[in-house]
Amino acid sequence: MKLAVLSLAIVTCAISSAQTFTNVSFSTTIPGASAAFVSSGNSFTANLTGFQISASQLTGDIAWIYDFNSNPVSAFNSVTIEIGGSTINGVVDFFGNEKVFDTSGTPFQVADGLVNGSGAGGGTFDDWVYTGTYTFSQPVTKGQVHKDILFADGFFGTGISEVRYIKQTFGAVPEPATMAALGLGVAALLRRRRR
Amino acid sequence: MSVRLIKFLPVLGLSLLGAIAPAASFTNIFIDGVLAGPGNPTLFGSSGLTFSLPSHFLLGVGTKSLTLDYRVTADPGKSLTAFSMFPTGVARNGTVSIVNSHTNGSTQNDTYAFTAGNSLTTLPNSLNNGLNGMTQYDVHAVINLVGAATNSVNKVTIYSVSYTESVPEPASLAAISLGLGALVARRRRNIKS
Repeated sequence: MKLAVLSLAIVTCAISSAQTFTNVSFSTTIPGASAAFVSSGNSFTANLTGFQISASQLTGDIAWIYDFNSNPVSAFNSVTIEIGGSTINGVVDFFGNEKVFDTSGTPFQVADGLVNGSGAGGGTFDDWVYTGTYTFSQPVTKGQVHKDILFADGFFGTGISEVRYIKQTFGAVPEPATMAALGLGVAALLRRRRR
Repeated sequence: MSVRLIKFLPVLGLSLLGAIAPAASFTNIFIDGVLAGPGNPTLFGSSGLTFSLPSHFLLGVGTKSLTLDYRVTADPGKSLTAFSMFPTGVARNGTVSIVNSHTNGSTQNDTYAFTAGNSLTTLPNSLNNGLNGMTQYDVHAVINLVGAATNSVNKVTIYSVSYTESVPEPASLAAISLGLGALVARRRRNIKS
């Protein structure tokens, strides 16, 4: 029994610690705006500071690129985007695209998603959240994300909008073969102990 | 087979593997005429580049252009046989066009063009534009945005390119095998004598 618990702990550790997000390239057209990156399990978030759209700064664009690597235990098969911000006295519109590529060999695209929406606010700052999920055409262990988003205040008004974060959470594929191999190993060990 | 020859074989095997793995290299990279700094572009797979171009968007009526320049060189012993374009962006009531010019003696122009109507649309990729198999090209790309209406949105804020390299031809492999055979025969002779 103790052995079984230990095996489970090792598997949990392998699943939660192995995903990596590297070679991050984040650029924006808004002077002084910056991003801090936080990864947690299958999620990778850019927390933005100073990304504000207003009458004096009608547009702001973000180009965000990074490599990801799942691990031998799981592959990724989808990505969910979450964009959070706040707006007062107006509307911010955003237009963008998210492409995901498998780069383990010759790169090819596995997801192509439109990022299009708006966040509105009344006389006080009102928070808004946009979410979208894109399923991959096939599971990927090593890839690159291309995300571009243009935020614009120019079409509709002169409010003030802040974009606070962009979070991406990858859907993981459990690998039956790995789990079966592990189970076989544990069973063999238990049998040996009984003998 | 001598011990020395056995030690030598793994080294030979590794060097052959190195020759087979694709890895084109990129130099002389300029974005809009400015020498590209570290961190942009980044690598795209083993034989490609990804450019960040956050300011390359256009709202409303008008035109806007951006240029990219670089030199691509195939791995030693290989040639460049094709490339693919991966623009990340959107279009609405406008046209996005990309003209890629590959020069080595003569110039080959490949044009990508996408026109969108009144609904926002993601830009499709352009795959497998053939090249005439040189080992090196100087590349000049122009990314044009044209907005036709007041509500036009056109942008290419990330752009990737990926190259296909030729695998060694059967004749080359035969030459390598012949050379290897000659080497083994010579070593055997040396050992006997």
